[in-house]
Amino acid sequence: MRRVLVVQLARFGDLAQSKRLLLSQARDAGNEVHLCVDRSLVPLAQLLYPFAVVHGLPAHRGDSDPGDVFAACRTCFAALRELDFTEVYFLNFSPLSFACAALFSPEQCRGYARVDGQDMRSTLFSLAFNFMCDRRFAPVNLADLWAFLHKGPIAPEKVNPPARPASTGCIGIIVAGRHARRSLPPKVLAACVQSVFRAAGGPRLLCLGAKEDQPVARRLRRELPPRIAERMEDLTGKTSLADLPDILRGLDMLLTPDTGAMHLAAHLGVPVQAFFLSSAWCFETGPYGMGHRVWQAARPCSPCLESAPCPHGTACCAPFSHPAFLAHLAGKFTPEWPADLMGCVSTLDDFGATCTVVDGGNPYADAACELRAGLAACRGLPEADAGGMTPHNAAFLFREKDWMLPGNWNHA
Amino acid sequence: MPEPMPKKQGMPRVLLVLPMYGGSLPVGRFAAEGLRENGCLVEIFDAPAFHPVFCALKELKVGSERLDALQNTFLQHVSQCVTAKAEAFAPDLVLSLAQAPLSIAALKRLRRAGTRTAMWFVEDFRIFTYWRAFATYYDLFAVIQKEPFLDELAALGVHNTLYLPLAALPSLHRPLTLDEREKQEFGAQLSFVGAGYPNRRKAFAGLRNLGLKIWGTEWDDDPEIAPMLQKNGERISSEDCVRIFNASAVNLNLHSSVHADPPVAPGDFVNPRTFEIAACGAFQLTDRRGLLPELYDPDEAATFSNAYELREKIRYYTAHPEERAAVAERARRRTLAEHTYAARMKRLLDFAAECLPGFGLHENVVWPENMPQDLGDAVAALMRELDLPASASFSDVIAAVRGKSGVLSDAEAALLFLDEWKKLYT
Repeated sequence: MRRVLVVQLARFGDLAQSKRLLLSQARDAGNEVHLCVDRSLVPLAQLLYPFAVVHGLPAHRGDSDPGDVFAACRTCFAALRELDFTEVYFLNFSPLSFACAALFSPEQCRGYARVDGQDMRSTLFSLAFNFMCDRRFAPVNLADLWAFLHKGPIAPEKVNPPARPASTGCIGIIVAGRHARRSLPPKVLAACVQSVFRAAGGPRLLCLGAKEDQPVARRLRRELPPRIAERMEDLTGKTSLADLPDILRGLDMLLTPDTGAMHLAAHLGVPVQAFFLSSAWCFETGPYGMGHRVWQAARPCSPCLESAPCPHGTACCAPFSHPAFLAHLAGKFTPEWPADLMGCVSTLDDFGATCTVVDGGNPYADAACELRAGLAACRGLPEADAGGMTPHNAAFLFREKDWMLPGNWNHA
Repeated sequence: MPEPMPKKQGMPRVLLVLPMYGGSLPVGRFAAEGLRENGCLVEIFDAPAFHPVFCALKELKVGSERLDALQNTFLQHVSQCVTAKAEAFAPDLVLSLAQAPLSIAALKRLRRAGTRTAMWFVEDFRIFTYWRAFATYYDLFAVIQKEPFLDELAALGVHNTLYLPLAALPSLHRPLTLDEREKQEFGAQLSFVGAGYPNRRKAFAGLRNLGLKIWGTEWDDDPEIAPMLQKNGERISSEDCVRIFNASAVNLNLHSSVHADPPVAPGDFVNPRTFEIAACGAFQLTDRRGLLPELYDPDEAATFSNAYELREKIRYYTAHPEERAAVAERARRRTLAEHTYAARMKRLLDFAAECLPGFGLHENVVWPENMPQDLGDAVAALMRELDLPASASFSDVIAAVRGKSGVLSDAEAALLFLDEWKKLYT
């Protein structure tokens, strides 16, 4: 028996996006799969991945004090060491992840490692850091990048079911994500909700979110016409993370920014209509699976850096209020299309998930495709043709040192 | 919401930058021990690890101008490695030994970042003159000579200067009980350990009939010396030096000079060998140096000032073993009391505290009050293992854990995790 551990210390959405890697590990005969997550996410992780043994670490802020963090961490580390893993996959480029990696030998580690006190990236992740320097050309979904730590990951279509409505006449609305700038303001969201409401023939609306989202939900209700507002039930702050899968299963569609709930909906095959703006970029973190829709802001400054102040007054919100877009959302044909917006459908190819632009143009599509082919060539996948490693790709995917100097550490 | 941990002063942190090669290299390693004995947390920048690259550049056989440019680029790169290390370790002091690879650009960068720098210039200022270009970029400049060096530094505007003579490391330089094989291999009635400088060649050429054995490098082309040369002129390790000192009745100590005449030239600074032989409790005959009397009293050091006196004293002390033993014992006591690397580094740290405002008052996160038993026990065990004093702060322990190689223990990894968690959330 081989014991493998996947360490995913980031948020709910990242946990859902680790699915292809986890399923690939679970598929391999003789593997016993373990998963280490923030302790608040243990119940959800157990729901998402019932085949895995889940371990909890105090990785998120929570209400812990330092003594508690140390004690919980040490207990968890002692248990993990005892299990003598054959391979340990570190997915997050974070100091917490590197601290955890210090427990294991470089031979055990995949993704990231700590080699004699020096933090190291694997060859694959070094490559990813290279191409992420210009995110506009993002050639791979994050879920696939993580999956490629496995030498033969499962086929993309085996990850999530295709999007299929529950036919309940109910639409869910995630009012806000963790980063305010990546969410539509209530007024803009209200206009989008009205259009979708019209297209769906007046469905019931379920407003979903945490307690801190309640003020936004109230503002959204105020922005809606009374006949729509009265169809909206506000569940913000009234449900737990563990309740979310059952709620999502009962939806015909989920309207959402780039959130963990979006990835959970994709995991369940619940159709998603996602609004991506600011730093969110659907070619990196779009919903995984066939048949979801993503409306991606595409200004020249997109995707931006969330942590930097926006010098443009969050102008990437504007296309979501454009009458042509709202008409499109309402199901009406219009020859117009707002500038700076891409309408995408989530699709799959042999390599993994991607977003195909069907409304508006994608000026970066050709370059991204070329990179994707190049990346496939690096992975040695059958669809990679001999021309995959074009001069442009060679220059973009690799730094000179990657060609000429020995690798820091020889594990994927 | 967890409370931020309280802060106070912890262990002084020193990043010690070794030179790539040369005589000040062992001095740097001994200084690191001295700093540790003073309760410092020391990280060593191991410049000798970069030396093979420097050698490879010299093998290129390119134009001299191009080689100069490449060597300069190389130096800048190694200097950047030092500054990167300083950024990661956050030292209270970056201490360079003479010829440590730290460019002016790097020194400026460290100064901009508020990192204090010191140089221990353990070379002869008259021969190694590069101090003129570099001294102003250091916050503290320690030297092994006095006037006119200190005046010349002052004239450049360098005022934080400190006379800091060399020393011995008692844990290494100590009396040994040698077995017969070692006595056979390292023993001599009269010996010398060191490089073959011109004055030494001339002074020692006629001492063959007194049973002189010579150890060290750069002698091999001298036919008069060849019969006395041991181990084919190989480099002698610090450990073997100590064996030779212990196994020799009379250890010669002649300070080097690039001029053959006079073979025993006047000079001021006192070399490391003086302190090392003394700390071994071994007897030495050393040339008279300007700064020697304030380090050793006349009955603690047997000296000579010319070649004639050298021969006379060799004969005298060879014939008087009790006097040799008495002088050696007094020199050893004085060395252990005053001339250790621990004492020198204490002086350096005290001087830094006097002349560099705020030195050593870095904020260090200490342990949470009411530390849980589990955390307390683990930390106590870890501090014992890492040889850290009880005064070590949380930051000190974390720095020590970060300096470790290999797989960490559960407690060590949990402490690193806690440190990162704290940076993220408190």
